[in-house]
Amino acid sequence: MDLRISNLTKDFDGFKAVNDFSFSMDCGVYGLLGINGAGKTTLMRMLTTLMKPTSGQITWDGEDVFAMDGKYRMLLGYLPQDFGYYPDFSVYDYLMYIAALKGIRPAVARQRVKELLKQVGLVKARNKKMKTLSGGMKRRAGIAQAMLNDPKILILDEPTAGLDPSERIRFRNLIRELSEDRIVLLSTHIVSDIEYIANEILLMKDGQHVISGTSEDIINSMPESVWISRISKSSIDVCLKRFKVSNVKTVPGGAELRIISRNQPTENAIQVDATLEDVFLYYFGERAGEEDAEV
Amino acid sequence: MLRYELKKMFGTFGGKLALILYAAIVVLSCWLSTTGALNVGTEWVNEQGEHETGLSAIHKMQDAQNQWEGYLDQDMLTKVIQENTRINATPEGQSNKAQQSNIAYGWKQGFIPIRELINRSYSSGFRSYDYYRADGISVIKEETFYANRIRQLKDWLYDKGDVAYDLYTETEKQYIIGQYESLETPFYFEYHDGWYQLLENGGFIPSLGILILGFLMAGIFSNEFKWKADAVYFSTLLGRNKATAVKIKAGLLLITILYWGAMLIYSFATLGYLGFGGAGCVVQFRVWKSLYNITMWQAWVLALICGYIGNLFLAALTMFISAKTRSSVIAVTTPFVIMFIPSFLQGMADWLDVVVTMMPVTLLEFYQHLGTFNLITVFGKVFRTVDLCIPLYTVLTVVLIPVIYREFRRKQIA
Repeated sequence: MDLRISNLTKDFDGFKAVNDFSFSMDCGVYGLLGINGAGKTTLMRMLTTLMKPTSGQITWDGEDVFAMDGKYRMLLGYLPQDFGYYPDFSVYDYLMYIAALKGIRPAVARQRVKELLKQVGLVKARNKKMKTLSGGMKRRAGIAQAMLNDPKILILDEPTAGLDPSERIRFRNLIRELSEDRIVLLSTHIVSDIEYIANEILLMKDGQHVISGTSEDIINSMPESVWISRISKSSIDVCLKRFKVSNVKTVPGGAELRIISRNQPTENAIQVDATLEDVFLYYFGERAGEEDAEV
Repeated sequence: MLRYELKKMFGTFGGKLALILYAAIVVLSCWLSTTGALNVGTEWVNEQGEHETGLSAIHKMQDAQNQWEGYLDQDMLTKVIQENTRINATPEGQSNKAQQSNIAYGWKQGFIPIRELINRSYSSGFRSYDYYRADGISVIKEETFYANRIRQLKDWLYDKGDVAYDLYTETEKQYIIGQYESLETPFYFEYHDGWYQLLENGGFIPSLGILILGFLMAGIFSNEFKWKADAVYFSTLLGRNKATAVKIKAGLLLITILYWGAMLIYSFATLGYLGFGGAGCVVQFRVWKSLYNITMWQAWVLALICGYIGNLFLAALTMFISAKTRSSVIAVTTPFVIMFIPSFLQGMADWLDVVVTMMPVTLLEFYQHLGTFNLITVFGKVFRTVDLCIPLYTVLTVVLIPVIYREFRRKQIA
């Protein structure tokens, strides 16, 4: 089980959405972390053969996935970021149709759909039209369709985006349950999702592979330290301009800032352990804070 | 998989509405043919000179005309002229009063279609028509009756003062004359109003229907993108092969079932109401100048086939546009544009007129072309445009199918 990405590039009229990206995966959960526009979706679309790369190669056990064609797609389960469906289909019909598209025989499909509906908690909603489902239920239907063929490669693009906290936790647990004996590649810009589920994390920025490793590896890779500093209200703006601040917490008489800095930023600053969120801010800078407020 | 494709089409409000509208067109066509609302319906003028309509009127007309059933040979033509003359000589035939004239007309109803042919045959020229011409004939010759049609045609084609003189090449003129000369005579006559109405109103379902069905066809491919279901669809095992083929199959199957279902309902409703008789009468009873030497039933079979090929082609073209542009809106306008282009182009230039006669509309409204002299010469051989349109659009449809398949299966999802 070896999914290998070698020097993959996707060029859109001069703009490199994915730029010379290389990585390899075997069994486990991989978290692809990056801000919006980092190239995560483009990379996933190439991994699902929806889009051909400009250059580079994706191989499965040494064989080019585009040459493998149907043989590769047979191994694939995909939940896109913008998960579309047939609005007038019931959940059951939708899953049966996708099962047909995946080449699963109707008798087998009926059994598999029954199991998955139970697993994702949609048994009661099986006859509801897809368009009437809540956001969380749609996502669960989405993961069910991705799992229909018991895929060796499960690709989930921003699976928790737009979900409320309880749905997110439920979804994370579901992904954990489904992650045995397969490659799960999960993209998100929500750091906590990755932290809880992924065995290995890949950071992607401007289409490039920045760093990868376990949560600890990545935290340790950060050359700067994290400090907690209490400051007065009047100093907040100055500090925000001077330092990389990963969190601002209001406290009586001022604020408690979480600052990423090589040196002690203020006299009263205390050094604390870094988290993945701090690393995210370190690598992606201010844009991470502005565009990805869900961290 | 096919079931789900059809469900996608009919599951939406638009799909259901399209189906209702298509059914409405079938009902409208049946109503038009059984009442003759757009042309001349079957009316019976009774002994009192009053008009009767409805089923009893149809049965009376059927009985009256079937008394004149048989070949239009010397005996029959003589009998018609004699009877016409006898009726004209009666006080009712001589009267200027409307009701009296109507009574006289009522006595002629059994042989009115034959009298009509006599009017046409003995009119002064190919493009003239005199409703009272038969009343001025006391002696009729079978040879002259049929020969007049050919003579009038030749006079028209070779009259230097007429537009036809330059309109057709010598080869084309010879072809037209040849068609006229090869028409089998004497004609066989019996009541045939059912077939006439069937042909006359038979163009509505193929031409209006495809505009409605276009709404269903337009979404087959583009809705995958509209619903954003494309990413999952194309990442599956069969999305880029069998499922795409099933989409095309669903479109063609839908057109086939709805078209033939509608035409079958229309045919049985019309003939069931107006009568099945007259299938073997030549179309010249209603389209005197026609180049087609075929009977009513043969014309209807040809109209059905032409309509089906036209519908299949437009459906395939709509699906192709849907797959190519990913837009239902652009795709749905395709049949409208193809249908209405001829109205804009006609008369602009001679070569454009030829192009217009080769448009799919020719197939959809076959009966309207039964009386036209639309010809095309290819490598010295003359063809009626319909004769070329049938193989042309069959081939184009067959060619389009793999093109649609190729176009859709290669889509990249950005």
